[in-house]
Amino acid sequence: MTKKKKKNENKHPPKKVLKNLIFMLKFSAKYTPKYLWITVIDSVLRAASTVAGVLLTKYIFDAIEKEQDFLRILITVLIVGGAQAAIELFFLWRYEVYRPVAELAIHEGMQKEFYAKARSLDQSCYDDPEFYNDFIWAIRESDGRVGWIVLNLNVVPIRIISLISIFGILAYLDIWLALFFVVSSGLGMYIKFAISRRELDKKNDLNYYDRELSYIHRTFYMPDRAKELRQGEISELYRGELARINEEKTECKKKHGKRLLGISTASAILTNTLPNAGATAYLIIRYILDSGMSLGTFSASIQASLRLYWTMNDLVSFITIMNEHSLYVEKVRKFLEYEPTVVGDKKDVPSFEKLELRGVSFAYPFSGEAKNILSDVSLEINKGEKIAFVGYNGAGKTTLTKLLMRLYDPSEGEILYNGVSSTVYSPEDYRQHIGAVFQDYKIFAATLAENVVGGEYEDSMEERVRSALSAASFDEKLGSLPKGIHTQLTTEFSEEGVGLSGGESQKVAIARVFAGDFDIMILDEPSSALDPIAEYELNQSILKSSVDKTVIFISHRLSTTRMADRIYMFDKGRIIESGSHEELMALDGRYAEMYRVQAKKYKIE
Amino acid sequence: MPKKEKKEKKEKKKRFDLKATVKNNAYALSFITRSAPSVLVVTLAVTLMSAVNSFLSSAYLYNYALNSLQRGAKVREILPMLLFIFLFSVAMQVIQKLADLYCDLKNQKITAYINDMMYKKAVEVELGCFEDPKFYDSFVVASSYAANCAFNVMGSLSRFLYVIANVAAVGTLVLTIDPIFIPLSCVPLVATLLFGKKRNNAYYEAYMEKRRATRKKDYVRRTFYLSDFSKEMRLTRMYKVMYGKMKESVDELKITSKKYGRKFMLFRFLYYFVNYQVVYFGSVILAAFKTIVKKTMLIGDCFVVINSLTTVAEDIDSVGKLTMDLSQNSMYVEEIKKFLEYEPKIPEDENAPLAPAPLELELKELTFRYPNAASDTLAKVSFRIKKGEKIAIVGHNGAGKSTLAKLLQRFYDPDSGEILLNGENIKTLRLSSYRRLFGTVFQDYGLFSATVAENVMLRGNLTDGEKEIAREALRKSDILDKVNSLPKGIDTPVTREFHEDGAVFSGGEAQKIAIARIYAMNPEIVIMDEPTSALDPIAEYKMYENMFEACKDKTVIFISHRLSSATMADRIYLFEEGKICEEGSHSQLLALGGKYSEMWHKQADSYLDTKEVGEDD
Repeated sequence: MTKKKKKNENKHPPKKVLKNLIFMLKFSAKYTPKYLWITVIDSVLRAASTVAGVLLTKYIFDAIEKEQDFLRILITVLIVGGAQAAIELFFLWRYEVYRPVAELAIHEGMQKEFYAKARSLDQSCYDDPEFYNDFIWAIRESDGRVGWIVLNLNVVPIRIISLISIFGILAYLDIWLALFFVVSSGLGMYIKFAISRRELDKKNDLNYYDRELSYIHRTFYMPDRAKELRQGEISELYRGELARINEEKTECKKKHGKRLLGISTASAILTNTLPNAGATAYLIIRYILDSGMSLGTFSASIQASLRLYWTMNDLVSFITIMNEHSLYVEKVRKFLEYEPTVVGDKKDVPSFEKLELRGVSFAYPFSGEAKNILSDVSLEINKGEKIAFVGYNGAGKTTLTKLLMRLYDPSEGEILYNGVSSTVYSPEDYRQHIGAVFQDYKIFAATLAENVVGGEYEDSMEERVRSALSAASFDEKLGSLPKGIHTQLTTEFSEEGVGLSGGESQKVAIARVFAGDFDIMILDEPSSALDPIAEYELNQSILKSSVDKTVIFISHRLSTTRMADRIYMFDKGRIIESGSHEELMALDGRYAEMYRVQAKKYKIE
Repeated sequence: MPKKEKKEKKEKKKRFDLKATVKNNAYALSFITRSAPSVLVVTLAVTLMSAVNSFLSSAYLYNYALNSLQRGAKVREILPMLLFIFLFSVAMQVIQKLADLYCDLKNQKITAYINDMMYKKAVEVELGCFEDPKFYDSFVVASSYAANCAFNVMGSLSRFLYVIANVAAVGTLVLTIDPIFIPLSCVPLVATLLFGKKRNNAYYEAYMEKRRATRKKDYVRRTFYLSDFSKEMRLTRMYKVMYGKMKESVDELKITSKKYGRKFMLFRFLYYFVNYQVVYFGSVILAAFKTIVKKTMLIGDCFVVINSLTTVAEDIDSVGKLTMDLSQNSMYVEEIKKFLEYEPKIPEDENAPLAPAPLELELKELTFRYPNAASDTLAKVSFRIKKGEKIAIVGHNGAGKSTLAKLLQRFYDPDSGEILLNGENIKTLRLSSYRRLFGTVFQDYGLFSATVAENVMLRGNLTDGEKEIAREALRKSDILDKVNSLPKGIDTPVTREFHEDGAVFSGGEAQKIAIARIYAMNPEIVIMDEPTSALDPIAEYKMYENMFEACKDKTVIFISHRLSSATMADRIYLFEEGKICEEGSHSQLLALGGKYSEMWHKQADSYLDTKEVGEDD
């Protein structure tokens, strides 16, 4: 069922292909308007060069046959040759010098549009596997693909113009041969079109096996699974799978191969043997029978028919490629035309006073389960408060912070910022008031200072960066870095880059929140990669540096959160208890139970 | 530093070495001859036929027709020959397509053979290889290019055969007409020999210069499309820094493109000029001169020469290109060979005695340093574990705890010191039998795309009895209810990798499945490397209760940086900077008042009701 659906998705009707290609052309014209014109000039020149070549052949043999003056032949050859060389040089200039730079310009413009769009996408897009796959493909392929499309699109006019002019010459030399070509290649083209469709089917079917094979490949090749592969017999399981998949893939190829064999042989004979050996044999017979045919006409016809055959084949091969391009462009368009849903117009976001959640419910749109992650959550956070969200894994704590940050908007209920619905503000400006460290924070391949600022660094920010790092207890490590805050992080593209350990990275991520000087700070399990002493120091430091700030702690370790002004205990997406540590302990409910389980292990007997 | 080395090495290798080229390419070809030799035979036979076909339907045909014509032959007389050549061409197409299909199917077998060989080796080599960037590089090359390399050699070989056959046939024909044209057809080859290397170097240099900038560009792209970065990209202004990096890399690329574009243009023009203009126009002028001025050449011969010389020249020139291709292929094969012929440093010795049931495990002065590391990860670690003991290994991140676990299972061998099992050095025991003594939950455990039961048993084709074991193990690790709620129970495939109905587990659930592996394996020694990091406190508590219940008489070694779980251990080893700095039971260590006690108090403080956090300041 699903296979069939995919099949149709992988073929575009010609109209759609054309539309998508025009879209792409416009894109290229936007960033390099001259590219298209240069290509057109080049096409005309190249066609002229081809025609001149064929006519020259006719001239030469006619001249030899008629034993004309050798010097005249020599001069003609040199003139035509010189002109052809000049045209070739122009082509090479366009291809080797002009094109790479033009492609980079298109690339740059396009990436900018892509990235700006990518940033404006809803976070939920990343959860939608289909959209996300297409999106990754669109961006990742853009590098080679865009240049390729533009190049192909530019080749098409060249080929069409050459095709028309060579056909004109051939018609002039031998109208029957020209007509024969129209029929045979028209037929051949039609068959090739059918073949390319069947080949797409084949590719589609094989895709399934290739995905399985590449998974096995990854399993053996990535270091992640190396230990487990050495432990049990799982490697035998996968080697068995490898053999099975290969057999099935071979069967699949066989099935398609049989389907393609007859038709592709027919097409090869029609588009290869007939124009080649067939046309030559025909011309020989005609040459013998028709005394009026000169050797020049004979050889020019052969040359023209070979050229025609070659040009046509090349043009036909574009059909398949163009379909592929169209599939790609379709994905690019889908992505560029996506309308984000987490939006808002108001740019002036007042400084924080109060955050209120009223009956907030939320389900991830693409989780496959309709289950709410958060159900009817209402709470209030005031300026300067220290709030803790606690609960078991999967209770919805992290999801709630994502809603607070407006990475998602609630499915039901509302979040009021200073009494106004947060959805009226532009997410970008709204987020400048809230800083968060997530469990899955990321360090960028940039300098330490840029990572801490979370953006471009200026000298005036030095004090801010240093005090933020110090608040995140990164001082010691900072002292050991030769270039201090200007040290390049990660070895991504600098050999002198410094790779930080998990705990150190986490501290940098925390420093980012301090440096941002946000009204509200959200710390989602900030100490998971830290050892006990570091965790302790960090907790002290955070509290010290955020006396007048609003801080939201999230943890399943209750030791980290007990000093909060108010603790919200979550279970299955609902707040089941709330209050200060003492109040909750007095309540003797779930929180107290959880606390006791953890504290028990630390009791000194 | 290692990158620079690699670059230098590559540059050295670029120089053409005939002996190595032949040897390496023969090695790659042996992949095919060992798995499906018929493919090679079919490919070469078809190539030879197609060379004959190409000769017949062009040079020979012209020659035959024009000669017949000059003899005044009638159409009737030459028709059979024309028909024969035409039919031969048609037959050739059919044979070609059949051969293509045959090879396409057989190639699957070759690829499977090569991959299987590769995967077998990947499991055989010691774990350290995965951390050695140089070795890993050859592995990456090997695993992605091995099949290609084999097919490349076959392709080059068949192209070579084609050229020889074609050049021999057309060359003989031209030779019989006039030997003077032969040197003309060799001009492109001479040009290739003179300029080819320079050109290749220019391409190589451009590639190297662009690579750095391209890497930067690729990184920027990843930060925008990977979901890992998506939150930061929305919450910070890091995107501006990334835009800046993209601009830098595009500008760099523009400069390189301009710099090399002109060079490439000139090289390509030179090629066009030599290959097309010199040969074609040269033959035209020479033939015209011989026919008109000297009158030593027949017009028919003149036609044949002009029409076939460019093909011959192109063919001859392509031999030069073939050697370049083969020498490049040889470079890749070198890496593949390095990987496939690597002798594992921790090998499986079929003749070694099996590991006995462990009574005692002793570590003597164990010292270990990762390659290229500045200091020892483990330094002179000695201790003894008796059967049935519960051992906790605690310490800060980076203290060497996980490394110790890897050495215990012989994923690495120590640089000095030894590990004794019942007094016997573990190096003398058969590796697989020794490793089977252990059941481990790694910090970075992972689930495979296989059924839940297979993930627990770590093996395929499970019998009903084995499935029962898996079920029991899942029950013990407290995840059976969840698994039973899945549509196919324990036969449900894990991950959505290939199965749209595959189960996706949360971190905590996945960890429980990884823990179930231990119950299913029922090993003599259990190693738990931070097994509870994804579990919530109640689940963690339950996990330990179950584990100690099930492993009463087993040896259990658990590694943690949280101390709460250590209290249950018979003995605790506190690691610091690769050394054991304190050891003893929980109460002994507390009484000692040392580092352990300090750490423990810091963690415990926040749970003690009498103290408020912040008072310490």
